[in-house]
Amino acid sequence: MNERMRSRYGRRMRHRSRSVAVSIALWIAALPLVYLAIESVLELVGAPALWQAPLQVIETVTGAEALRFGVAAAAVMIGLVLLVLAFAPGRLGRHELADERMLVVVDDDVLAGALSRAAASTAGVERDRASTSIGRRKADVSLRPTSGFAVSREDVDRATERELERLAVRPAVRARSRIEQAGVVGR
Amino acid sequence: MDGTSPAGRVSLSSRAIERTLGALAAEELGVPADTSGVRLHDAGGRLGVAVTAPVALGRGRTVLAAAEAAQRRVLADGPTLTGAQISTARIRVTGLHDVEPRRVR
Repeated sequence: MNERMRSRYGRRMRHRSRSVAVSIALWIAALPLVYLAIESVLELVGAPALWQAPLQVIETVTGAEALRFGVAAAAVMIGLVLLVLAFAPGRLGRHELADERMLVVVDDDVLAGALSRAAASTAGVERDRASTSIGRRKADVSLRPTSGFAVSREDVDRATERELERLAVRPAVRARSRIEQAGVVGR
Repeated sequence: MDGTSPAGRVSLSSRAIERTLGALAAEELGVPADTSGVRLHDAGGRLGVAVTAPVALGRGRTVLAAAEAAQRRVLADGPTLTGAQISTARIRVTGLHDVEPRRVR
């Protein structure tokens, strides 16, 4: 697998697929066209309209004030939703890990767990005293120390940085740690 | 794992800290260690200590002086013995303890 394929597949797994949005948009576009086609043919052969003649539909919609605004508002809404779906990056909260042979994509929860574990073991506290939230490019690690036993922020920072280096996460993540003021009396 | 520290984790149970600090205070108050009770709480990341213990009769000092001595002892020797940073020590004297052992006649 060469580098280009790898980065393309990685991108695919880190982003939401647009296929559902695309197929819905296509249906929305296709239905009126099919309707127009059917009614036009019926009109040509002189048969009665299946539902309503297109001109009549336009007349009904533009006739009543409320209906006109309703239809316009609905069109605007659908348009906005489609625009957002089209242009938003659709990230899935995952990162790639460096691996020589395969493409490894992990959920950010997994990454957060790894960082919390590194932070907690450095600080010598239980694993559940560290929590991490991960964004695309940065991770915030917060740690509750044991009362009476100060934890060095630099040590925790170093440990989380080392963990990130070891995993070689992509896109690169910077970790920032915070030692909470209040501690917990150990058991 | 990373080579800088041995595998595993060393932790001090709060019970051990409680008993150590209790023994310190009891020694200063002149009573057996098992007569003291200790509560630990968090004080802004440091340790807050509350000791309840009786005080020994005699020894030519006031109860207050004995309690203050116990407090100083906990604050001074507690950190060295347990490694914990102690911010406050409250001593509550709950009774008088007769140190002379009673003889069975």
